[in-house]
Amino acid sequence: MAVFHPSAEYLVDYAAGNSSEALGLLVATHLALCPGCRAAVGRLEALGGALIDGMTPSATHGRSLGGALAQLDRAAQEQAVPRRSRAAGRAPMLPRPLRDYLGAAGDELPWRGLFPGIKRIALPALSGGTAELLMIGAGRAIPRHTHRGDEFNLVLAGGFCDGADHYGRGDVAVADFQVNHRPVADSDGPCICFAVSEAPPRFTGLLGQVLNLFTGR
Amino acid sequence: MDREALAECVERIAANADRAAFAQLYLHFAPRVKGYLMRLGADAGLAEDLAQEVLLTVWRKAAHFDRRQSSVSTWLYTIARNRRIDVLRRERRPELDPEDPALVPAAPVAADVAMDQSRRDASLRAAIAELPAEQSELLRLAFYEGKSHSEIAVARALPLGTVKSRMRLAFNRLRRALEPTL
Repeated sequence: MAVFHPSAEYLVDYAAGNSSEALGLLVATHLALCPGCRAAVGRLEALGGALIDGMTPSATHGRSLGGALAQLDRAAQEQAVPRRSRAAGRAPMLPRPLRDYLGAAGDELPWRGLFPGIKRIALPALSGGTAELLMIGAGRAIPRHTHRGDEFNLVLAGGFCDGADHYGRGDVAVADFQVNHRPVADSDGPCICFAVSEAPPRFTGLLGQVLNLFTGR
Repeated sequence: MDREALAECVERIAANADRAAFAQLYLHFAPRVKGYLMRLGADAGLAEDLAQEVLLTVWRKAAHFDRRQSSVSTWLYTIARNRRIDVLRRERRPELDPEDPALVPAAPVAADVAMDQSRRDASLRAAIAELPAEQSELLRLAFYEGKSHSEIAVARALPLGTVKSRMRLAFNRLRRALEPTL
């Protein structure tokens, strides 16, 4: 069960429909893995329900209802899916919101080497930040870096340590521009993260300065 | 119409494709959804078209509605919010799927501690009414004016950290108000 959650302002943005696409995708993916935050977003959505209830009705055209009724025959009704009909088995690594954006089934992902021990898949351009999947080899570290904007890392498989904190599946680690850190993947297997950076990271070590040249940062 | 009557309309649509129930829901909600969409920047014509689409979605998805999970208003709000992102912001929208096999299910809540939905809505509204003005203002800007927390900071000339901490305070108060009383 997730221990580190997106803070309230990101859940409010999401529930009110105001997230950037990149952070909306990160929050939606966390929600799939965190029933507690799903319930919290549900409560915030009830605020939206209260908003609809309190709305002064804005008169619709007289023909509006007739137009809708005329379309009902073409609007096929969906059948209810019985809950818990899902086959018991291993949960896919990628929750659906992320799967939809990668257009891949899950296991056959087009990883590309970024640095030694680190592979990456860039997502299509989204509003609000750079989004990518990162695979960090067992026991490997991401070179020490700082940020010009906030960076969000959602763990999908394995885990990593950053200072005293350990992050596992479903956890969201947030690093702001003041953090100069060097996250290290667990030693028992690769760690796969969904990372969103509001601005690209800036590497600070000696190796990092060389990397900045290559990554155009 | 009260919330029970509205929920019955949706259930009648699901069970019998009941057109009269649909007409009742339409007359109640379409003008409100139109008002919501206009408030968030749609012109009258677009808001009317989208409100109609939202109500047609209710017809198609009526079988998915569960009155134990949410009120009709809250369910409709999420449909309208999503259409707004799709059409007004012209963005793809990440979709949470309740049937996703990767979804971590919620632990069942014992019936004697679970608050029923109408009591939860009442507690929520009471809690909002009691929020300090500076906190309820932020929620109003988020839900009524469609501003993200960083846009609110810019619009109100507040430090971003202040907006974040006020939102966290408001959020915690709402959460406490809704915790099942043991």
